[in-house]
Amino acid sequence: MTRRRMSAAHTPRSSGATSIVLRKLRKNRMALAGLASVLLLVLVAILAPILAPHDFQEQNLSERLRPPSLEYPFGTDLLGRCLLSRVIYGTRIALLAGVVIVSIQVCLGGIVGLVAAFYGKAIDTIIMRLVDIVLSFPPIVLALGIAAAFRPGLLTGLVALGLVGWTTYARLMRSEVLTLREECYVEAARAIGASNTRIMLRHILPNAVGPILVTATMGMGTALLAAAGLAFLGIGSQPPSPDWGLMLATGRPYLRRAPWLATIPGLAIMFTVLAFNFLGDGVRDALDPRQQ
Amino acid sequence: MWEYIWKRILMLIPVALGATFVVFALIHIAPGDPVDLMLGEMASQDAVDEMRQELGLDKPLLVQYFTWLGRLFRGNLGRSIRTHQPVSTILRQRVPVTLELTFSAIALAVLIGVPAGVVSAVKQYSLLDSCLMFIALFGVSMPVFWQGMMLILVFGFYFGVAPISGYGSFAHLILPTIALGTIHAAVIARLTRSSMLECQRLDYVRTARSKGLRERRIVTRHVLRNALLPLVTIIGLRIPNIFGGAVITETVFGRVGMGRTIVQAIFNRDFPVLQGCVLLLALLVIISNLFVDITYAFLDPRIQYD
Repeated sequence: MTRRRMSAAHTPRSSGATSIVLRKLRKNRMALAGLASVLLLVLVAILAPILAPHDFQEQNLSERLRPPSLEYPFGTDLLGRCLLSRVIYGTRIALLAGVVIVSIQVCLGGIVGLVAAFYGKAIDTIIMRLVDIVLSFPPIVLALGIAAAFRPGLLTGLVALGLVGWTTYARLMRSEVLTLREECYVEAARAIGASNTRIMLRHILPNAVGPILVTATMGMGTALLAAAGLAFLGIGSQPPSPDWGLMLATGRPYLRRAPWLATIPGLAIMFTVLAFNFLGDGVRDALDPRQQ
Repeated sequence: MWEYIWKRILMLIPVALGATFVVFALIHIAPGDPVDLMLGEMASQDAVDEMRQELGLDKPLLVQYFTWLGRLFRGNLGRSIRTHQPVSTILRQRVPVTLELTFSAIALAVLIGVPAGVVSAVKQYSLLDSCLMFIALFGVSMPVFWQGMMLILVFGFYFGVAPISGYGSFAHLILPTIALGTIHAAVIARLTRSSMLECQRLDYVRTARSKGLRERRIVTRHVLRNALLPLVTIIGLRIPNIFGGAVITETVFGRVGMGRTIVQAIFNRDFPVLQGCVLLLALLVIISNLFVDITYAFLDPRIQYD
């Protein structure tokens, strides 16, 4: 990524689509702020053991429900654990959750959309009705229903959310492929006898990936919020995981006595979602040819 | 017109049937025996046999589905495994709680979101536009349950001006509606703005401008009227999320509606109740979408009714 960007900087007259987009991105302050924040979060997640002032699991019952202080900058929770350390470790779970959910959604939706548009006719109709059916459920409710069949846990929650949120990507991929399959190079590939699978994977897919990636960046925020919601309801991560949504749920009964327990993990969620939304909005604007 | 509406209703049937199949399948996607899943491993053999009989698990899956569907059409959603109350009775008590919150939140979201989006688009790139869109970006990035908790903290505990939990009066509805409504207002404001900007680029707007119409008239007559149409669709597309948001918001404010019922049903492994709730919410979404389609047809004279 960095190398590509460097080369774009050294050849300002390059007119490739990628370099135009990168140049626009570098001028877009919103996208840069988002990118910087996302990188910061990734760093925090990687360096968690170094950054955390205390062991995030260590209980210290004599120090329970302490307000923020120099020793514990974010205070301590019900079991006397350092909230700052837990929030720092929670970054790992949040980023993992976002990536896993969006990856499942993109893969599932991408394949479904590609197949629907490429084969068309009855297959397309059936698949699009299936999309309608999935869309008729409130996403979080269907995820709860799916998760109910399995043991509550982080993975259950992530897979459930992945299984309900793919429809956006399916629709997007379908509309992309519907235009791409009429392209001359697809006809050419077919003329020289390329198989359907080869045409789909080698000729159509690489050209349809761009818009999907933009939507996926914007989808990270939504996915993170949904994962936090499931954890909050008790269906996602289970104690003693330092999942932000779960921390909010356990801090809720102490809202009056220890407001920091519910306030700080919420701010962490908001900052993370905001970072991805900034990046997503910025990338979308950079790719939109009508924006100056 | 009526033909169009009938057609929409007919098109809903396969989707609604599909939704019933998804809900039916929920207890069958888990590995292992559904009866063990529902009753737990400690259940007596009698209870297991009775359950097996009731669900008709010895029959093929499709036969089970149609038996279940048949009972569904007669309004029989089964009984709760824990309380033995009919699921339909439970739903009748809990649905109004959720509907009340959902509709008030939609109203608030539209009342704030649409004007904010219009103002933002008309004054594009102004300070007001930047401020509104900055606030909206925060709004879409906040977890609804966290905003609810912060509202409880500020208005419930510090100022003590609104009840923080419960159900029944208008006052109880205030904080949950603000929590859920403002978040969706942020989404709607962002979408309204882009829909307006989209319309401003169209040829007839340029024509209107070039023939010297006043800006105010262009905005109200030419842009807004056409931008409102996609807005109806946009709000329609938000409805499932607002129902979903209501389910979470209820939990924060101690309202015993569908949300609390679903979560309790999951922890109790009470599948008939869970299925009933999920199915009903899906049907509510489907019906809301029908209303959106019909509204759209009334608003847009270009819709073909054939």
